[in-house]
Amino acid sequence: MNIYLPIAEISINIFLILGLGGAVGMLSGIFGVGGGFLMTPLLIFLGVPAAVAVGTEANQIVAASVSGVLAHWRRGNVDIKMGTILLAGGLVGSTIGVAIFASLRELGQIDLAIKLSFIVFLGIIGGLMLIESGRTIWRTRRPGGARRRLHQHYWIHGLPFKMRFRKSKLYISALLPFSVGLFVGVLSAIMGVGGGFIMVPAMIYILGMPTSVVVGTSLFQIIFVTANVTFLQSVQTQTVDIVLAGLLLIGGVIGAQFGTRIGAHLKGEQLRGLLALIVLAVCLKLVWDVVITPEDLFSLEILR
Amino acid sequence: MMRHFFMILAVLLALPTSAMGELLVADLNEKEVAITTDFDGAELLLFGTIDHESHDDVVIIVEGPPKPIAIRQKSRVVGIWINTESATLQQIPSFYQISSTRPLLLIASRETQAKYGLGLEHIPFRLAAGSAISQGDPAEWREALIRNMRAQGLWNQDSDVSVRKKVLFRANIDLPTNVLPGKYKVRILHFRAGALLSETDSLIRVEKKGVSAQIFQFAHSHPPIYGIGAVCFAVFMGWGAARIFGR
Repeated sequence: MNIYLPIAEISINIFLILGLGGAVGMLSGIFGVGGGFLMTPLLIFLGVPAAVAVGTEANQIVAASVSGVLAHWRRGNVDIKMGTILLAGGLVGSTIGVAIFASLRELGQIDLAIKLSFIVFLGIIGGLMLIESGRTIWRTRRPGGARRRLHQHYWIHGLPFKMRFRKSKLYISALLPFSVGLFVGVLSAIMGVGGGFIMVPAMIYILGMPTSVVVGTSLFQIIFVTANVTFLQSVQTQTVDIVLAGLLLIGGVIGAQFGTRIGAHLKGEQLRGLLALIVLAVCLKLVWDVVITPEDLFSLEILR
Repeated sequence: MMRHFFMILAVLLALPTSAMGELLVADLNEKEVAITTDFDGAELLLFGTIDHESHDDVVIIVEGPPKPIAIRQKSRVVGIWINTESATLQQIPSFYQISSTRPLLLIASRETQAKYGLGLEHIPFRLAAGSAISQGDPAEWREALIRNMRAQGLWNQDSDVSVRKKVLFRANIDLPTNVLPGKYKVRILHFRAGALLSETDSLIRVEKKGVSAQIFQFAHSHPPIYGIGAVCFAVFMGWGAARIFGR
């Protein structure tokens, strides 16, 4: 059964969309990730215009993050002060990002920009995860080895505007979370992702936040940043397809239920290794797309 | 799955005693194609009668709403294929289907074809103001336009109008799912011995209808409210999902 998507302006099989939502939802349930970084490229592979994939995915992530954050909220795993600073950066970043997006679209380079951003970030994140999980698996087989230092001091700890974040047990410059939020905000707008896959490592390794509050805080700010992206994309580029978002969401919610159960039976490092392979596979497909000689060097866009 | 059939009845009557020769009478019994949520393309069925004199030909052209089109050319920059050249064309039919009883060259000379705008190669190729093809041969760009529009199913040229018993002609015209809404001009041309006898034009309106049309319209007429609505919808859905599954 086909459905005509009003904003994407294409007719697509409804079960394909529900299935895609379900599959990515299941992965996000298994691995505890948002899934935007997989969903956006997959939508593009299905023939959804890249700009619509990005705008719509931001909308879907709002919903996914709302349902995700509630559980963390109840357990008190959200550092609101940290989240607010990250969010302030995120709002500025995503506003800049949407403006960049709109001008790239006008130049006819948005498809390439989206693909290249995904290649760079999926490549880096997938590669790092693969190495890390490989090392962990290796280490558990051979006990011993060097321990990491508990606390390290870098130049970033000398920055001004220091603030105390009680929940995260940190006393750091507010500029740090603000810049992290800003950077991820820009990416969020251009790539149609929540940015959890960059935000979470940045919070752990750059800000030094305890892992218990990382996911809840990141989800908390992702809600507002993706809501901002959804709003601005609706206003500036009209690329948010709520029918597509709704279908992905229904599939995603159901998929996530199965995913969480499957995830509980797998080991952490195996999970990360598996996710790394999926991320790298999507990355390679995108590399392939921009590197091989296209069938036709010319392409058309019917302007409105 | 739901295939929409639209029938166009065209009756071309040859009045044998007319001093002017032939008179073409055509009628459409369906003038609207609705793009609804289950839109899966449409098929226009067009038939009528022609005079059974030998060498009578019928050419049917369905032309979609004219739009400017951007053509972009990729070239390799440090191993990556990037759009490096681009040109914008003036208003050009976003859909063009020409069907005829025989290949066009057998029906009319090139000059006649050009005069009446018959065939893909006679669709005007005009650059928009301020746009230029700085590299390569314009003919190559023109070929690229035709090739890409054909590949998208938006431009077609067939000689698949069938004539039965030299009287009844019939043509099926497919409107693919990616057609744009707007006015579609249907031209039915009657040729005899290389000369145009008559032409009948009519219009079909392709419109977005139903929920999907309203969503599209609203997104473009009230973008800020649409944006706020989309966010509220997502928050509600997310909250609902969390309630249902008690996560």
